[in-house]
Amino acid sequence: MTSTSERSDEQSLASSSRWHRFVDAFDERLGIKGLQYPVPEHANKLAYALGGLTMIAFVIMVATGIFLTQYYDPDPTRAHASVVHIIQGVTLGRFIRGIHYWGAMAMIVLIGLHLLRVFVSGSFKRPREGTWTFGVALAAITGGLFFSGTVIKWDQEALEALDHNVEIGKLLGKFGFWFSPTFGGTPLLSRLYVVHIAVLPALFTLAIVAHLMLVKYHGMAPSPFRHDHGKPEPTERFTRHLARLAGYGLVLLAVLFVLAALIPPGIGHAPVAGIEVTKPAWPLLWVYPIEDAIGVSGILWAAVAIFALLLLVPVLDRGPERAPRRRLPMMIGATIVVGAMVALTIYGATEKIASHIGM
Amino acid sequence: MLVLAAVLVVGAVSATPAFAHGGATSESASEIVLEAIAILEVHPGPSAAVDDKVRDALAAEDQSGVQASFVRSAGSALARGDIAATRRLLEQAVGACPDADILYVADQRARPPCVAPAHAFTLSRRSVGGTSEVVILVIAGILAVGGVAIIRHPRVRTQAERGVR
Repeated sequence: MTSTSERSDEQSLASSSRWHRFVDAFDERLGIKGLQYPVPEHANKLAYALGGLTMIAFVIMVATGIFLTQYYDPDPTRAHASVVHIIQGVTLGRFIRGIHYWGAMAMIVLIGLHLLRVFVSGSFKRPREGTWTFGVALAAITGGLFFSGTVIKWDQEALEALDHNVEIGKLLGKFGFWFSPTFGGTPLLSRLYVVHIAVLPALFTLAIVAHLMLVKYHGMAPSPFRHDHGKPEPTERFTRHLARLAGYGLVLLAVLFVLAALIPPGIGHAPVAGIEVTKPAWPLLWVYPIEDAIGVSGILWAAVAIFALLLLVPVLDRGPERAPRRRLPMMIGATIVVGAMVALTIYGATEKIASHIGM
Repeated sequence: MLVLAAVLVVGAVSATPAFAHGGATSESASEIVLEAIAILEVHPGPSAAVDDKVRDALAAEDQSGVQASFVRSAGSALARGDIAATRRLLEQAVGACPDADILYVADQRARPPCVAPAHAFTLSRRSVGGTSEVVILVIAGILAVGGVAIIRHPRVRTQAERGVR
């Protein structure tokens, strides 16, 4: 009995030793042990993994997007038919498109929640204003990815979204030249497709590299929700945080699989110009009632206002205090803004479809 | 276009009885849509007759040759009083080609032939179904269990979760 147990221990030690030799060899060449730096324990909570999960969602979007580009045709006369072909004629096409669609929704929700978490915990405060600014840029790029993705499916909703985009381009005067259907020698849809698959993902990648470098440089912000003041917070290795993030990522992927299998997205009929018979997707629905009031320019002003507010957060809330209870004016202001967006979304979802172009 | 208009005017005359009776569901949806277009050709303004035709077309048993989503959109446009859009959507519903010149196609290339009815597809949210769906759901289950196992693994849990202080 003893000898069996000893043999088992020896095998385990040998195996462990082999693993360590492998890791050491890898580390010698790639320096992977550099990832074992300490991070505060609270970094392992789900609320502090939302940024990492957004990045995982982005990777899922890139992977499924590469699949979809093999079959999508960005020519306006064939785009709709190519999406129908992806859904009906391509093996796993409906499923992969479903993951891409639900992944986009997940990315919007995750980055929104991440921004909220950072705001509530005061993690944007000095010296992390730059990290926050890159985070806001990432949110804006995510919005651009979502909008352009909405357009390139090229159904009625897509054309109406693009028409609004063209109108906004006109509002921008000379600066809106790119959005003109007559600019360049390629249809606007095809140009927007390039933006969706190349320009915005590249910008997102650059911004996330800068964001992560700043997170590493400044370290994780201290949590305002710890009660044992005075004691230093225990730390964990960053690799442990990465492992946990991988676990959350697998759960996210599982949820996307289920949604893509059971409720994959449909597609509306091919676009008919000159009419407005659809509403935007829910992440953009909050601007719909604003359009009712002041026309298409409402989209521009609402977007400018929300991102200006986000960029101004570190300026408006400069004090050193991170605890939400001691930053009540900011908390009340944020509640009003988020509440208004939710209320506008609900109102936009329930109101009648209206024409906004040419108002 | 002239031929289409002539056909529609003839259709308008023959459509009158159906219009008078508020729609006949024994007709095919495509016939009813053509009648609605014909009414609009003769009376290009908001009317209960066209509204009835739209409802009848959606209720007709024989839906062959008609894309119901276009008919529904036409109903929405009619409710808003947008007659031009109603007409265009009804034409699309029975397979008319989309306006290629509005699709932001650069003028230097030849206009492609009409691709109807492929353009007219509307696909609702329908689950993947069949064996594929079962396999996907099983894989999703494995991924979820794997994810939770990693999160709950003793080497990944935090000191507080392990009760170490």
